[in-house]
Amino acid sequence: MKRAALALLGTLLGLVLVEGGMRAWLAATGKPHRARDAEAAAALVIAPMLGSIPKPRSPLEDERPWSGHILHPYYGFDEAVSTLRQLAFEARAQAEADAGEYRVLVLGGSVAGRFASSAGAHLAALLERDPRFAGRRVVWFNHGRGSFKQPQMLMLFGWLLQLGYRPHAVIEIDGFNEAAIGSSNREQGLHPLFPAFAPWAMLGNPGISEEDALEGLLEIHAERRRAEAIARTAVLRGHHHSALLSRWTLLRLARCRQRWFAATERCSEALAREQDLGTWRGPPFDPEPIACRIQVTRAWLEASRSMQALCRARGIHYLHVLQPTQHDPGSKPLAPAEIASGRLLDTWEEGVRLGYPMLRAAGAHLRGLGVNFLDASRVFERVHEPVYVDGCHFDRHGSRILAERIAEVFLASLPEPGSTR
Amino acid sequence: MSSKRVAIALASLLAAPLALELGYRAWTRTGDYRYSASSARNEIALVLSPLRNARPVRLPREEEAQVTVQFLHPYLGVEYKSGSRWTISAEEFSKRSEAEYTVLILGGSVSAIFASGRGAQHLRELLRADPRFAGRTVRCINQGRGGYKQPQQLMLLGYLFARGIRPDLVLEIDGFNEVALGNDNATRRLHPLYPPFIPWARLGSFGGASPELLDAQLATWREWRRAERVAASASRSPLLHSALIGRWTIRRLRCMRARWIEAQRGYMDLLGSQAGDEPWRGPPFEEGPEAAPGRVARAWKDASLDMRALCAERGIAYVHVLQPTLHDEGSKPATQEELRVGTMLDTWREGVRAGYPLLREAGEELRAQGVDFLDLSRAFSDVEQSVYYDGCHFDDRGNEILAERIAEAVLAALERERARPAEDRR
Repeated sequence: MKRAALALLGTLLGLVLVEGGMRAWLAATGKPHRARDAEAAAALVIAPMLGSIPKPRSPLEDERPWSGHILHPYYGFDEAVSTLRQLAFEARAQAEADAGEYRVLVLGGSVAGRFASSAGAHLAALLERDPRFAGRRVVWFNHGRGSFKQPQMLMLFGWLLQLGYRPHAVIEIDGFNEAAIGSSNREQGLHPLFPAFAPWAMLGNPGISEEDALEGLLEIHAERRRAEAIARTAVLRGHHHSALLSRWTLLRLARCRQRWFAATERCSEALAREQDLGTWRGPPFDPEPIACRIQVTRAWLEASRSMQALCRARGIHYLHVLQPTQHDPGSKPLAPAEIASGRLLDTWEEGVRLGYPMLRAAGAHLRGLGVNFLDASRVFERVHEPVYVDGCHFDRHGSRILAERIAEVFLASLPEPGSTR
Repeated sequence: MSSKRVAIALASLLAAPLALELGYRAWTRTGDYRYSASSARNEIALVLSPLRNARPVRLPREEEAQVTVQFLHPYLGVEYKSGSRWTISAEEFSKRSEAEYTVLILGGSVSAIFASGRGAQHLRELLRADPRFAGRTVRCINQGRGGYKQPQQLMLLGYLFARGIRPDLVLEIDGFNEVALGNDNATRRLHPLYPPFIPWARLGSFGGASPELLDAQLATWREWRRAERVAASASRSPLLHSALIGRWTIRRLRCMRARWIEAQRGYMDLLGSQAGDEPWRGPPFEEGPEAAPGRVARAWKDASLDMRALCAERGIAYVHVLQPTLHDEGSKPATQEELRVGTMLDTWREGVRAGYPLLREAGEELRAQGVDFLDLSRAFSDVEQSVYYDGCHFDDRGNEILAERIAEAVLAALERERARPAEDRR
């Protein structure tokens, strides 16, 4: 009995020592353990599996009955139902909003979503300094969504207006997904203007005939559920308060994500192998790469014109931003760490390399048509320190640089007092 | 053991299955039934047919080429394809000559019937007869689709423009589907601005499942795949010529089908027990079904303003027509025949009754905001003979009447456009 008590005490003491040692080591390496950070890190790891942009409030806290991508009739797919609920809630909130609010709707892909999350406050502060915003508070409505590309944003915007959204301004940040995903769609036999291959092929496909694809789909689903269960249990039991348990949870989640990613790849490859030119692949298109790039560029330009037209009809200020991206030659002096972590699919890299010059030219044309267009593709041209965290997303510092440029152009193009509602 | 004994053992080893096979064939040879590999294949197909008729199944290619199929579209909700012909084909849209005046017609099935038949034909005749169209050809492009309602037409127009399509005039004919199907949606707990319930519930519910529902759905897929695998290997194998093996395979498949039915039942039970807030139903519509006509009318007006804005950006004329419909009170002296053929769902009829006055009101607001809006809901108010052949579609005579009024509106819109100062035009 005494021995058992001693063993128990020893084990507990050992665990406390390991926990303490781990905390000391983390603090010494400049990354002290914080429960909040651990929670956010876990959210970041599982975010791609849930198909979401990590939100400031951890999604793990939510007791969500649904998860993952769901079909949407007007823009292909959306995140879990929480987003749909959020849409209705925000539309109602905007209808009842007070006059002291200046509502900015951010649209685009994951770069736009992350930008609004990480640099929204900075951009708001820059705008609020302008006398035209005196006494008004800038409020963000972040609708950047992973892998979204035109015309998805146009459709999403049209739908938000139908739901009753009434923003004062719209900032559309895009370019990368159009060039990169448009190119990989073509390669996989999906119409370049259709949504990204992986989510669309899994949701929009009326019948999967490839056995590997079906197996992959089952595996994707299983891994997502596993990761959700791990994350939820960790939060419920307070694992994030312990450095040791946080590490263990993160490792388990990372393993799930690795398996989920591998299954997604396998499933996508199997779907692309399907010989049948199913309706989900969209109408026939010219498979020549140049024809595809022309089509993507034209759709990007036309969608922006349409967004401008919808905004103009409602007195909404519209700004379209071409985002910077690592594989656009000459856009940034790359640090070795950026090169190491920035590898993308060949089709994406090629899409960016050949597509970006066309987007820049189309952007100049947009400006000629009266669209407030900001070419920010060279915004990191003189930034030597690393800002990219992977092949297309940038860190907080990069987002702040972009925010400053956006604030400048936004204010310069904003109509004079009396015109802002 | 002597070689003779080995030979006997081997021969009996071979003879036993043969004897069994022959015995089994003799035993099962009752009535008209004769076992054959081809009859076994047919039976396998029969056993698997309920599994194949459920998701995920694709029509055989040759069959798909014959029929009009409804499928998911990322921007329109539901789209149609007839054989190998897509409803949107790039060739169809390219201008054939500079002298060509193209009219893009959007809306639901009433607009599609107008655009593909006597309505568009008469509209072309009337426009060509006008001196302003001298030397020009008029082409009507049919982009009406059965069941479409706003904002589907708005999304379609945005998508067509993104694809580079440039008509001279956009003609939107709508009204019935918005209020009838919008009301039907709301009573079935589907958002009234989502595509109509019937295709969307079938096509759009996949993926929008709770983890438990998705588990249940995938369990049915798993059983289906297992059965297909067994059926495929059996059908390829020469062993299917054996009645014993063939019957055993069919028996195995029947067991698999039973498991599939069990899984399917579990899925359906779960689906039935849903609270009605599944993601495929769209954002919560908290106002309740009674508020649907008002919500639909507001969205209809907004969508029309948005379509006008998209057209104006490109210097394209836009005319919006509110179509007539049988159950809109006072819209037509209905004949006995029309009343007989014009029955429809109560939810549709109620949607029309409550919604049409609201659409007319919203139409007036549209006109006040500068939209070329044409209220044709009373176009048949003094037509005594039958024009409706069901609750909402009308015959050639009805379409001719519509075409006459639309031609007048188009010519007036063109005149107004011409009178505008050049700098106001984009």
